[in-house]
This record gives sequence, C-alpha cells and structure tokens, in this order.
Amino acid sequence: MEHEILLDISHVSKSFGLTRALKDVSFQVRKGEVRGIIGENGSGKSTISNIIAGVYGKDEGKIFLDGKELQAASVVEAEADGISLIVQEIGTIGDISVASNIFLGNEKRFGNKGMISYRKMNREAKAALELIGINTISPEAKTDSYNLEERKIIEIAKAFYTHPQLLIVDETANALSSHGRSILYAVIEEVKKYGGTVLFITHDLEELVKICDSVTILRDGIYIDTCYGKDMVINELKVKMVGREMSDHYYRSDLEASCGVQVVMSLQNIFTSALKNISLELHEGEILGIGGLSDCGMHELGRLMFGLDQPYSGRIILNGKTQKLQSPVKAIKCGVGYVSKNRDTEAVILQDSVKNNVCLLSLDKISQLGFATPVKENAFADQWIDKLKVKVNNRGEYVASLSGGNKQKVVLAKWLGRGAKILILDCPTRGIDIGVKEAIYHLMEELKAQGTAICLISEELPELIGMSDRVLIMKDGKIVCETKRGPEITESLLIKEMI
Amino acid sequence: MKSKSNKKGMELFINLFPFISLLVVFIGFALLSGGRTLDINNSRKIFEQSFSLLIVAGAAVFLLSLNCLDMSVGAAVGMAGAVAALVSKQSIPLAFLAALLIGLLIGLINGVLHGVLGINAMIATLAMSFILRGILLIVCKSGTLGIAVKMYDLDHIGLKVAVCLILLVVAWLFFQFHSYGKKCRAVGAGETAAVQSGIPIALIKVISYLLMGAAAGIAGFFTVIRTGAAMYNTGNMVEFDILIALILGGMPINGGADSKFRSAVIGVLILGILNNGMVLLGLDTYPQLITKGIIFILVLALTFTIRNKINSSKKVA
Repeated sequence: MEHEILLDISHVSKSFGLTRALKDVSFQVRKGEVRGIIGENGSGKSTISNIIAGVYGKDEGKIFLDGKELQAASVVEAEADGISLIVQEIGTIGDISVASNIFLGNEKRFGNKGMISYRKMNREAKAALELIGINTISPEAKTDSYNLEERKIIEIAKAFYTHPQLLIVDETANALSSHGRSILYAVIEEVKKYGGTVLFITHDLEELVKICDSVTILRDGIYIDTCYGKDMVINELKVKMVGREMSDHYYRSDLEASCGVQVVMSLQNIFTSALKNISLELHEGEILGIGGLSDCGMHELGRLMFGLDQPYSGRIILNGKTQKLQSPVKAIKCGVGYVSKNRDTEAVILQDSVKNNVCLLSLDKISQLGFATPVKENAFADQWIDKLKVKVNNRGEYVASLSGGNKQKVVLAKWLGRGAKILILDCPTRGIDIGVKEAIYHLMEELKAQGTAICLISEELPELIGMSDRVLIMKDGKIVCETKRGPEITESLLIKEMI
Repeated sequence: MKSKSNKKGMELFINLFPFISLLVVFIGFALLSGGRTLDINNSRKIFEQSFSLLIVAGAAVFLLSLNCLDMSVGAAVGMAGAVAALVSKQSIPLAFLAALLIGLLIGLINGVLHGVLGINAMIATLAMSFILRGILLIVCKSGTLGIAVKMYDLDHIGLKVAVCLILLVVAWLFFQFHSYGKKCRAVGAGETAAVQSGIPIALIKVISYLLMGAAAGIAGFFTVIRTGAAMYNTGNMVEFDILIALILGGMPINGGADSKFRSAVIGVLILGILNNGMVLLGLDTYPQLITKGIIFILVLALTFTIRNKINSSKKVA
C-alpha cells in the first residue's frame, strides 16, 4: 500500500448565513484509502464533500489534491481535476436520456462541427454502464423511466467512467437495495485497486465499518477524530458522533406485542396498479410495521391510506364506517396523518417559516370564524416547537435552513399539533442522525401509550423489528408474511420473505 | 460572517425597495414638473385613475400569492362595464349587481379551468380574454355603449374613497389573518406539501378566481361611470398594469410566503404617480408604454435575482 497523501484539507471553514457549517477542519487522506466520514445531521459532512467537489466555495482554508491546491469553482472543473461526486439526493435530470446524464457537461467530447454525435455518446454510455456490470439500463432511454435505485446506479456509472483520483459517495447507499449496494461496493473496491481514494459518507455505521479502512468523525462542524482499522468500534464511534453516551438500545424495551382491541382502520381487498389484494387491520395503540424492498408497494400503500391515491376496488373502513378517501382533506377529517418519505418536497414547505408549517394543519383549530391572531398562532407554534425540541433560532426561521432531523421534527410537530389518531409514517428516520432518531422512537412509544395507531413503513429492518407490534412484509404489491413482535423475529428471516 | 451580513442586507433591500421606489417617483416627478404633481387637483386625479386598479390589485394579491395569473381581468373589467351600461337604463342597483355577477361568472369559469381541470392558468385565462373581447366587440358594435345619465351621480370622490378603503381593509384582514389567506400563501410556497397538509387546492383556487372576478365586476362598474360609456377596449391592459404594480410593490413573482398585501397599495401608487407624471411631462403614449415596459423588466430582474440569492443561501447542507 502506498502511503502518499492524496487529499489534504487544511483549516477549512464555511458559513451559511447564521450557521457555521465547518469550523477550521483539517485532515488528510492517503492514496488507495477508503475513508468514511460520519457525524450527525448538520455536522458538516455533506458540506465538506460539496466543497471538495466544487459545489460550494469555502470561506477560509486550503485544500490540496496530490500536492496541488484545488481551486475548482464548479463541479465540471473539479471533475477535470479528477474528483467525482455521487450526491445524496437525486443527481440526474429526468427528461433527458441516460447517456446525456452520464456525459452532462462533457458533451464536447462527442462534438463534431457543433453537432453532437449521439450514436457515439450512447455507445460510450453503454460502455460506462458495462464497466460497473450493468446491462439492463439502456443509454437511449429517458432517465425518468427508471426508478430511484436505477437512477442512483446511473450516477455511479457517471462518477466512475472517468476513473477519478477521488470518488466522493454522499449517503448514496440509503437509496439502494442489496443488489445496488454490491455494485457500489465493487466500484469502491475498483477505485482502491488503481490507487484512487474514496470518501464514503453514511449514517449506517455497520456498513461503514465493513467498507472503510478508516473513519473521520465530525460534530457541529468541528473535526473530532479519525479512527483506523480495528479502532473503528461502532459504539465508540456513536459516542464520538453524539458527544455523549448512547443508550445501547434506543428501540422499545418491551418484548411483547400489545395493542388495544378496537380496529381503527382496516383495508379490505384493495387493488391498485401497485397493490394486489391488500387487506389489513390497524388497532388503536398499535405500531404496525410494513417492510419490503423499495418497489414492493409499501410506499403506495401509505399514499392510499392518506387519500393521495385511489383504489380500483376494495374498501377502506375507518372507525367502523366505510369511507371513500378521495383526498387528504377527507383523510385528515377522519383523523389520519401522513409523513411522506419525500420530506423536502411533500412533508414541509421549505420556503416558509417553522411557525407557518406547524400551524398550517391546525388553522381551523386555532382560528375563530377563520381568523387567528398572531399571538394565538405563536403560542401554538411555540408549544409544539418546545414539545418536540425543534432546534430553531426563532419560529420565523424558514424550514429550508434546518437540518434533516429538525425538518422531520417540524413535520411531526404539525401532526401532533393536529392530534391525528392514526399516523402513517413513511420512512420517518430516513437520512436522520441518531440523536433525532432516538427522539422519534421515544415519541412513537409515547403516542402508542396514548392510543394512537401508527403504521410504520420502513426500509430499515432493525427499526421495524425494534419498534413494531406486528410486521407485515410486502413483495410485488402483496402482503407475503405477517409476524407478531417477539424475540424470534430476525432480520434474516424477514429478508428471506422480501426477496 | 461576510455572507451573513450580505444576506441580511439583501433582505433589507428587498423589503425597503418598494418604499424607496415610491419615494423616488414621488420626489422625482415633483422636481421634474416643478411641483405640479403635488397640486391637490392632480393628487385627486391620480386617485381617480388608480381607483379601479387598486380594487383589482387587492384581489390579485390572493391569486399571485398562489402563483396563479389572470390574463383575462382587463377583458372582464370591460365586460362588466358593458353589462353595467346596458342594464343602467333599467335600474342602477341592478346594473351594479349585473356587473358583479358577470365578473363572478368569469371568475368561476377561470377557476374551474385552472383549479379543477388543471389547465395552465396563463393559457386558460388568455383564451378567456380573447373570448370576452370578441363578445365585447359584438355587443358594442365597434362603437360605444352609453350609460344612463343618473349614473353620473355616483361619480363622487367620497364614495370611491369609502368603497376603496372598505374593500382594501377587508381584503387585507383576510389575506393576513384569515385561514384562507394563509392557505393561499402556503399553496404558492409549496403546492405538493400544501396538498398533504389537507389544503383543498382546487377550492382555494376557485375562490381566488371568484374574488378576482368580483373585483373586476366592481372595477368595471366604476370605470364606465368615469368614462361615461363602455367601449370594446375598456379595461385594456389592466392585467399587465396589475402585474407591473404588484412587482413594483414588492410581490415575489412566484408568490408564496413572502407575499405581502401592501404590495398592491404601494405598487398601484407608484404606477399611478408614474403614469400621471409622464403625462404631465408631455410624454406621448408610445414612449410611456416603452418606459413602463423597461421599468417592469428592470425591477423584475433585480428583485428576482436577489430573492434567488437569499433563498439559495438559506439552504444548508
């Protein structure tokens, strides 16, 4: 193994408005090293990777790549320096072809007197996809026609075909199934083999320990420590991330399933384009877990239960009465609440204040004849901001400036303020740091004790097993397995049903 | 630290910009005209000219905050004016009612086209304006429709001030403090999230177009009182004047949480002083149009880029 330094980050600082995202961060990464970067949301790990990749500028400090100072002011410039970034959110453009996405910004390569040779571009795109072992994605097809996971794979191909010196993977694994992950891991292995360096950013510590040679911990924008090899012990890493001891198990401590007798919501023989003959019952005070691969229909099930999608046939019964949920308006009237997995676009209004977001669902409760005084609104917002310990400078702050975990707290504050008796949570802890995760789990237990029925849709098996009274596993739009809470449920058991 | 004070500065600038513009046109034209714009008769004239626009702009705040447009409002004003002129021969209260009803009807159609059927608001209302102008041409037979003589009694500045004040205050209360106004802003800021927060988007949009129609009806009624007759081009360009006024008044072009009701009042005032001042300085119609267009584009470009900068600096990784 070479021990030459590839990436040298020296005293880098960066602020966004009031928030200091990075404070005097310095560390070095060697050639051929796979370095994990961890930290809670808002710790600055995405910021540092975005600065290296030329997405943001830095306020202070220097970054050296292979001894030369990096001056990249854009992603394309950074790419020319040998840096590739796979971003956290969707990084492809939907209505252009797969090939155009792969060579976005590099179309000149296929230029001939001002015209682009798409034949040549498609041929090379095919080669780039085959390089990572993919031949099921067509370079000519529109990127839209592929699902989230396939689009991530396209991004991996885009990042890898240039054989970058430095590959940055920003929380990409979240969107991938085990097949997608194995492709990503193979790419990382390949980069390592030719002497390149990988920065791997993730929330999943088990994955991190498996993949990485070393790990750097950031907290509140400050460099905390770097651990190598055997020193990467999950519990110790957690302590360093959070800065305090974590309780070993933050899931429910009771081992027995429990729930009320009353069925608050039931579905009977529901069919849609994504769901096939779904029947289920949700009891008061029950946490019903629903798991499966991401395209198994569980997310569509959540949308249906909130009136966002309509069934072709079948019945929905709420509190003993058959209801037609033609819209969320009706669902909310029936006491149903829904937390979408697409937090930024569906669950919160980013360009609006925390106060307005929290109050929006409960305007009819706060108002008299439709009018509400600002005093009343402020009191209502403050009550729920306090209750959920949302970290904000003031209630007028826009949600866009909050970290992922705090945004999710705003979403939950909305629904708790509304007083929903049935809560459908679709991936409520996706992309959220451990501290907030723990708070959400405690909250779920508290709600369960108060008799709220919770439908927990999740791609994380430990969470499903740890929190649910009952777990339903879905596959191809059907419920294939139902298990009660108990020590005998294991991840491997559920995985077998999923695939 | 630099970016922090930068952002604060930009926000302050965006908030103060309408007031600065108002001050600039007010003082500027007062100086250029040697004080003639400050004359009491002239001030009254500015109000008379701005009256209809004020009422319509007050309703347009709701639509624009929703990120919706109404390109048919000028034609709706003309249509309501023509109907009022026709009915005024029978009864003047009936004429008012008829104008209001025709405005509401147009609003309802617009609201259903965009809010319920989901047709692009700009296209739907533009088509609507062609239809209305076509009907107007047929009704007016390319001439004018005179109003009943008794109707001139209503051309009273006190009445207009009262109507204007009442309507604007009520609209402001609803926009600022009522759930309806808050929901309008929420939809403009994030439609998908608003749907999932249980806001009946279609209903909100239909109500807003109805409101716009009602305002166009009232404005049409008072417009023909002032001009004495309805013509095929009554209310021409009102839709553009509203847009220019609201943008000058500080309204974000995409609506949303930053929408403020004062944009309507300040914007119409700026536009009123500007129009009046250009006339007093002896500018012809065409140079006036060109000047207005240039100012509109400049202000739009300036505020749009600054708002984008503020919003992007709010996004933290």
